[in-house]
Amino acid sequence: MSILRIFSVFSITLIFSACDIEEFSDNPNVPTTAPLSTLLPPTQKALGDFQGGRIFRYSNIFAQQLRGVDGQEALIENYNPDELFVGNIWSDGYVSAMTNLRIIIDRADAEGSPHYAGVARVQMGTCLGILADLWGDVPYSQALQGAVFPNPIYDSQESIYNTIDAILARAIEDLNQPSSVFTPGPDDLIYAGNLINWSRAAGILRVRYALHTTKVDPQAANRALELQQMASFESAASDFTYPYLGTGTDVNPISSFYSTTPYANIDPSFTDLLADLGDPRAPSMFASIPFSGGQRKPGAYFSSPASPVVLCGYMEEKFLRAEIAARTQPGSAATAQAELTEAITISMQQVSNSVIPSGDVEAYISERATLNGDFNHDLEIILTQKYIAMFTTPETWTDYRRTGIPALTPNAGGASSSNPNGEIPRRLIYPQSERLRNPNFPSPTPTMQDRFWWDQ
Amino acid sequence: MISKFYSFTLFLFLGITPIIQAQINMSGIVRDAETQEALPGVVIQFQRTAEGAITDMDGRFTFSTPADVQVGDSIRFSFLGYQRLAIPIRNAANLEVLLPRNQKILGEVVVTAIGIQRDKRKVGYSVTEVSGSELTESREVSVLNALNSKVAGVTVTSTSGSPGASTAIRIRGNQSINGGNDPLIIIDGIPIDNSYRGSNFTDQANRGIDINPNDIASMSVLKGGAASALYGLRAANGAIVITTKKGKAGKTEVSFNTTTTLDRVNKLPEMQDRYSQGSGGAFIEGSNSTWGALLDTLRYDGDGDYLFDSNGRIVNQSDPTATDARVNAYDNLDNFFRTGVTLNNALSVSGGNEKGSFYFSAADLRQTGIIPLTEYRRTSVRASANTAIRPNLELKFTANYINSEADRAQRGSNLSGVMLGLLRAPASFDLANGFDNAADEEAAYQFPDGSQRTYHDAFDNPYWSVNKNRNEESLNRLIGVAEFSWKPWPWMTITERAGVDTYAEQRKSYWDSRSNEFKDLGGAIFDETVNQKNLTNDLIVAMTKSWGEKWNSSLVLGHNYQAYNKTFYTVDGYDFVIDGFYDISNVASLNVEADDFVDQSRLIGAYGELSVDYNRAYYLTLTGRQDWSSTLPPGNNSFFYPSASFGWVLTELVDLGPVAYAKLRSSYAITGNDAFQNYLTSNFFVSGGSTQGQLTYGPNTTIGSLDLKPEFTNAFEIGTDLRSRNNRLRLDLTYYQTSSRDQIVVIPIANSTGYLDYVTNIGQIDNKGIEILLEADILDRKPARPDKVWWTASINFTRNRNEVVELADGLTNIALPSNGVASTQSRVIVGEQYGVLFGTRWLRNSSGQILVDDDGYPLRDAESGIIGDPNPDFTSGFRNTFGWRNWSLSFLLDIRVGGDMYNGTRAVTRTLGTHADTENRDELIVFDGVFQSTGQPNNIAVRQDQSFYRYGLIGISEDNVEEVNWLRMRDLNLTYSFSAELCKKLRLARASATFTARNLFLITNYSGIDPETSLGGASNAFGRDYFNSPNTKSYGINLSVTF
Repeated sequence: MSILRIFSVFSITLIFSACDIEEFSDNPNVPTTAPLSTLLPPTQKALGDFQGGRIFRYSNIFAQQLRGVDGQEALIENYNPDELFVGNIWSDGYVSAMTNLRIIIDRADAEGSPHYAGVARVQMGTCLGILADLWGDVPYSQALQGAVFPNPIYDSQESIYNTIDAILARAIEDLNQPSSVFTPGPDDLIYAGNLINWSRAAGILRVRYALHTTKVDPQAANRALELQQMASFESAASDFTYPYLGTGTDVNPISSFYSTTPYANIDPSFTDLLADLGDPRAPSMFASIPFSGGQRKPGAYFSSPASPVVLCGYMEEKFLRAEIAARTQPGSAATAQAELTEAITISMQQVSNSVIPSGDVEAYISERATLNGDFNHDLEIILTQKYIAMFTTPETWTDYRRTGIPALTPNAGGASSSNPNGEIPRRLIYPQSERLRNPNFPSPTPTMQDRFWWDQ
Repeated sequence: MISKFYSFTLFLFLGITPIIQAQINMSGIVRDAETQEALPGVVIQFQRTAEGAITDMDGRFTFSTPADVQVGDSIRFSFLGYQRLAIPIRNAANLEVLLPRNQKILGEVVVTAIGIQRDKRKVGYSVTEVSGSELTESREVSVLNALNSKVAGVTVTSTSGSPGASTAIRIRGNQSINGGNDPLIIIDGIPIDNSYRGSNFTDQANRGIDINPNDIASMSVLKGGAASALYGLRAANGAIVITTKKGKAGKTEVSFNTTTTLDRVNKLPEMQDRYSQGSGGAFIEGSNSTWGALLDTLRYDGDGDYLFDSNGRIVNQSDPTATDARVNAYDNLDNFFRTGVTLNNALSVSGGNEKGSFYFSAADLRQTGIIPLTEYRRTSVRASANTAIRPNLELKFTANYINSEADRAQRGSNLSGVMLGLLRAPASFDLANGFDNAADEEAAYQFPDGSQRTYHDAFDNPYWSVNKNRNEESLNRLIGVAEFSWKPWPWMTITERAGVDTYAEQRKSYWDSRSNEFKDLGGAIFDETVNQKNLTNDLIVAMTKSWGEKWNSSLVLGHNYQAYNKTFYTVDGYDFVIDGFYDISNVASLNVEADDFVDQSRLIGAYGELSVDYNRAYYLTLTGRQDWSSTLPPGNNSFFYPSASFGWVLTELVDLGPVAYAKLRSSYAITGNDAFQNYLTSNFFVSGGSTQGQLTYGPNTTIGSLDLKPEFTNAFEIGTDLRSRNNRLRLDLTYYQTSSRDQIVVIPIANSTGYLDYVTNIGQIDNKGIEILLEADILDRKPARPDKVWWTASINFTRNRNEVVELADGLTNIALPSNGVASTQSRVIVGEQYGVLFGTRWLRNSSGQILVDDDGYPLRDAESGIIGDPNPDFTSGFRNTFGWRNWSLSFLLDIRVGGDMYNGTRAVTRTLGTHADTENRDELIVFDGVFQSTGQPNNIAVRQDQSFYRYGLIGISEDNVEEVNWLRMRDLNLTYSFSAELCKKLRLARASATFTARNLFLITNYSGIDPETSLGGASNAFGRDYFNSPNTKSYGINLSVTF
């Protein structure tokens, strides 16, 4: 009977189809590898989001340029950040930015694409520097290798600093190589494949991180001096920035923050500082938050949807040079003054979109930013000006920790188990994810008042 | 529960008139009422004394009464497995006594795995049957909700009262960390997709909602591993086996029923209406908080041109522009919710003859929600037919087409969330702008220039949100089953069944460019199409054999093939070019991300079941199943798991007096399971979409593993089924223990590895619990006189305890994947129950006292910890049904005791000053705690003002955990059945009208909305409320007629 025959054939076919199940185990939707040109662009946006996102809020609240009024920002204001939210910075760095960088470096080294390796190394050094200044000891030597080292050990901040310098030096070598199998082009959203600019950025970053150690290393300024002679951005046109498009998902993170949850406004002590100095940047440095009872946010230069996040730039270079000059040429203000004047001028132009008349700038500098060769006096002026000009970057908090400039009064009620004496935090608490998942997590857990290596 | 109880029958032949005298002699024969077989060994006893007799080998007896027989005396016949029978004393010879068997106990048939119908006494594990009428009685939209509180061991949690929202079902607790904990749903032999694709933004459905409740004849809940063993790994969390209605031979019946239900919001949080928007005791326009001035001290300035309020600006009473008009306190909550209306019409036609039968149904449901502009619609058409081609060859077909559509509103942790916008709104701001039906009035929520009229820049006006941020879903589904059944010999049946469950689902979600959730991206639109296709094929050979009268056996051998295919097409776009036009073509060209994703797997199983029973007293069943799964790596993808169950009917062996039927049952089962998700065995790169026109890729943040192996659950169960004489009291008790090992879990890895998590086999999670079902016919269901009242009651009780025994080396704590509020998570932590709440806490000293700072405010612990356990201590359902003449009244009480809920809504509304708790903001309080600095008890009184709520918007998680207890009337149904005479006059076969009410009352200590809610929807994270949408209280009228 035919019905039965059909039915038994049908069943038997299905029974024997058991053999092919393994072919359904493979994921048909994704590649098992991806070209370098697709791995690079997400790390660059991640770098902009990293610094301009949460780090902007933590650093600038601690540096009293911002005041947290609500949500997580209110906790930061009380020096009592949540270990879970702190973890977002950690994963923004390690997972979103650095994993791809590690893959690019390894693969580019192996296949002979030093130009990709060099670009990735500059970015890696930038990330590591930010992480080390936030937390001190952080994993690197065993980090970013997935299941190979499921519990990466924590490298000391000092060794991380050595690594940063070595990575950046190697990056410059890589970038100078005459040939490279693959070379970044339009996939390089930062410099569009301009390797000279990448070398410049690496050179100035080396200066920055050398100068960060002034407190712990008496030779820091001299090392920085040597390094600064090897590199320069030459102009703000070659600044190391992530340029946001300003539309869709490619929007400046400071802009996103203020358009959704504007829980941090400008700290009155920061506006007071500018007011006391009669700083012509004040009107453009800040903008008001609608319907907030007059609260303010960073101005259009920092917080427009298409504002770039400046990772390191010519203006900072000038401040670094001014400080190095002040430190290495005691008694002589000329070099430092020249660098400082240029730094302030660039800042004035950038923040105000060049609307501040040059006469006002000159008047301001002669009245408020004139160096006299007295080291303490000059350092106070240089770093106060840098504090204003470097607003929205993590450098203001870092500079405060290494120089104590400008003098800040801790927020009231800032004592907590993670910040015992209520003073301005010296570092961040480690994230919950590491506490719960990494047995190599530092023990005892440092508080935000435990000073790390360069802050001793 | 099968409810066909027949009253006892006694056939007395030989009508000799009884004469009362000193001693009476009786003699005769006792036979089985059904088979007429003579029964030897029947005990005959005089009712008042111990005198008696026993029937002989031929069933014959003679009996002489004592000397003092009185009127009304009787003798009693009793025999194991039969009803006891009493007959009045009379002078009689050749009496024929027909003893009926315990029919109602013996005849209860339950549907077990792979659709095998079995006498309930033969089953060595717990099975609960719910009839179709019990499921449809309260007219729930979703049949999953209809199961709520009805079955011991089954927990049902609906996400919210939103139309088309999901419902989580758990049988005997949670065990899987990453996989689903929902039971398998089987309809007419094939597994049905009940997947839940959750969203951060809206209450999505799980697809069991597509089932038309009216089509269900009965539902069988298979709770333990032994019960569901033959279904294999997909039933690792139990199975719900649905049998649909079929036609019967005889007259063609046409049934029609129509229901109209009105829904109202059943519970809302308390809000304060004394203080205005603002901060620090001063009114501030546009402020996010409501810590402003007392409304009594504020006036309008009377400027009719002021956009935000037609009464004018709010100013202090001392302001020169102040008029005499005091500022109003608006009840935004009360204004917002509507009466939802559900219209449900269902038609069915069924009939048949001796060669075949058919059933056809069409049903249409239209529901509007209590939140304006939310809707759910479902249309279902089903046809099933069976025909006998030959006497031994039967063919069955079923096809069910379903179209369902939903329009949803934003909820939860979402800046466009309706509840978020509503509950954060100050009483001094009229969200409705004076309109009664503000959702339909553009001027209520939008200014003439198209911008949003809202009280604070970052939160949406809920009227704006329901209009401008929508989620539209449309689904077309076809479920078909074809089945041959061939009986080559009377002892063998071969069944071949092929089924398909396929649907295409389209979702479109959008947020206006001026709505807050995606404001920074210029608005967003997500278009998704899901094509899903599950194919199932079963070949089942069932054989039975008896040896002599006492030994029976059956053997079932089967092969099962399942193919799962799901394709997701998603297109995400951002940044609308034309405001208010929500189409994917209307976004800036660089801001579109598209993906197609094929999710496919294959599962093959071979299984067998051997059952042996002896003497109607001992029942043994052994099963085994071998599975091959494509979700596991080669080498580990094939695995075997067995089960054994044993039933022992005590009352066949000993007389237990008032207990007419007693069965003990016990089972042990091992259930294997494969990976909860496809493609976990490999590592690959995933696209991050496009950045500035560049395609981006990165390694998958989850590290895959080729070492995965199957997971196993061991389940032990012991239980008893006790029935009184007359079957009026029935008790079913079960104790179970399960232990799930080597679960395949994605576990977090230190982020410094560069990855977020990795896949591995870990841990052990145990569940144990008690299930009790007690049913009683308190007043007999078949009363002697029709005007007497009858009353039946049933109580079920569920207690499940769970323990996470072990995770992995060095890992004691895993966050469950969960949407929304990150500061309070559901976690799996060693030594705790599944899904404990983990969040921020107060800082305590070593003796557990809360530490306060020198100003008297408690301090916050920087480290999060366990703050609550959402698992209830026990739950219970108590059903009472009364009948009188043509009326019947039934109600179901639902009791829950214990278990915590995180009330994130309260946390935020307290911080923002809208919650009723903040009305006492001038009062002083001394915190119970000690100073951190000195260790001395705190004695500083602090004001409960803004600075009191100092730990950010969501405060301290611990502070907002509430234990949840409730008593609710889950449903109440009053039915009038038209009398036979009236029906006849109207030419109807049957007709009835029902008034039905759901959630008629809810008594709970929970301060927020109805605590039957879950931010995580039907996912594994439960016990969190963060601006969840409220639940409903419903009243409905149903009319059913059958021609």
